[in-house]
Amino acid sequence: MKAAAPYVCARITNMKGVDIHTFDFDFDLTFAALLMHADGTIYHRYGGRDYTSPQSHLSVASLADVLRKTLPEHVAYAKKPTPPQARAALSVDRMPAMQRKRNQPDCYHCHNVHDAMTEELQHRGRFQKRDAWRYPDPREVGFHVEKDDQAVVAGVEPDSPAAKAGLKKGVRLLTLGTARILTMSDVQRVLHEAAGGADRIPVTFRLGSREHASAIQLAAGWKEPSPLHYSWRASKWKLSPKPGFGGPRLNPGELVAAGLKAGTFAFKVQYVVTWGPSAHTGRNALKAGIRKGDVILSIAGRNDFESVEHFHAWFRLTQKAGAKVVVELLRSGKRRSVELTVVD
Amino acid sequence: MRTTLGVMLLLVLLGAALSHTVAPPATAEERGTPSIDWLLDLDEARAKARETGRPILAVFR
Repeated sequence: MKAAAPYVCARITNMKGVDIHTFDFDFDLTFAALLMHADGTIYHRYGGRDYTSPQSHLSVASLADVLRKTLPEHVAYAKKPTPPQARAALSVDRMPAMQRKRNQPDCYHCHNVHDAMTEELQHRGRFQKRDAWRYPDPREVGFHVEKDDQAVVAGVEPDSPAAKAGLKKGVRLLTLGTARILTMSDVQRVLHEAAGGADRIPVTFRLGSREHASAIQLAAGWKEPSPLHYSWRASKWKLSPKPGFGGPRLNPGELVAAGLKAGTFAFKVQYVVTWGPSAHTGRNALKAGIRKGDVILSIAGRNDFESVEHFHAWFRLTQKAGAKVVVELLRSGKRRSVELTVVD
Repeated sequence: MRTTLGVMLLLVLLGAALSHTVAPPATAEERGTPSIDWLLDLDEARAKARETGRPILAVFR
């Protein structure tokens, strides 16, 4: 790729030893890129995605675009550098949650960083759900962006904070907060750094030839993610409460064989977690009457999940220990209901 | 016998013709795309960026 030629390029496939204070991005991503200065200043982040696909916002065109547009920023920055405050380096393998493990892996995936952050807070009894509200999807504030030119708004939800700020399909974002916006990840970073309470984030954008300045007004709780938007994150598996069972979604043939309508959401219980630190959740599911091979039809009256991952994110983000949920299932062709008491 | 020899000759001629008409794939340089020297170490990348004044593209996957 010609656009990468002016850069010193590095490709990292193991997070062991990588200073996460300097190389700070959404560690749930399967592909992420930082465009930065040697002093640690990050100009732009690239690699955002949504729940539809890991490639939803990855393209050669969009990466080349941000690479080209960052070069003048780098030249300007070099004239008046403002290096970030130095912090002691920290890598995932040095994090307390990983140090406590008997067998440390040689290779750490990026998502292991979020896992270690969550585990550490859980270990200290200080974990709160909001600690997992990372890099919000722009849809949480009512808009999404194009794939190939990610500063361009692809759609706005009516009456959302984004719509009230004047954003429309086709506008080009210029700045959000104090950051120049070139990518979806740039947007997510600004939202990530926002506290999550009632807030007001300044935004500038171009519509036609005119530039507009406005603000996205956010109500308290805006940062709590929609389970669907959150569903792709590998770090969701560490969150509690857990259902204690799971398995694959029924394919069209299996739906027909089970006498279910095409398009129905249903999944087969392929595993009940009876091992490791979450074994109690599987034992709890067994106690409730859930068995391997059952087909789960609905939980707490819901069967409007887009995917099995959506179900798991919904359970972890919305259920509370002690709550009782009715699980409707199919076993040997017969429908039955069991009551599951949610455990943490 | 004559047919076999004829088929073999045809294959040889066809092979010779193809070897002249099918060009090997162009290298990145020939396509005008510079090949990128990917470093595998971020400290090395930062040192090289300091030395050359170039920005860093760090890819994680």
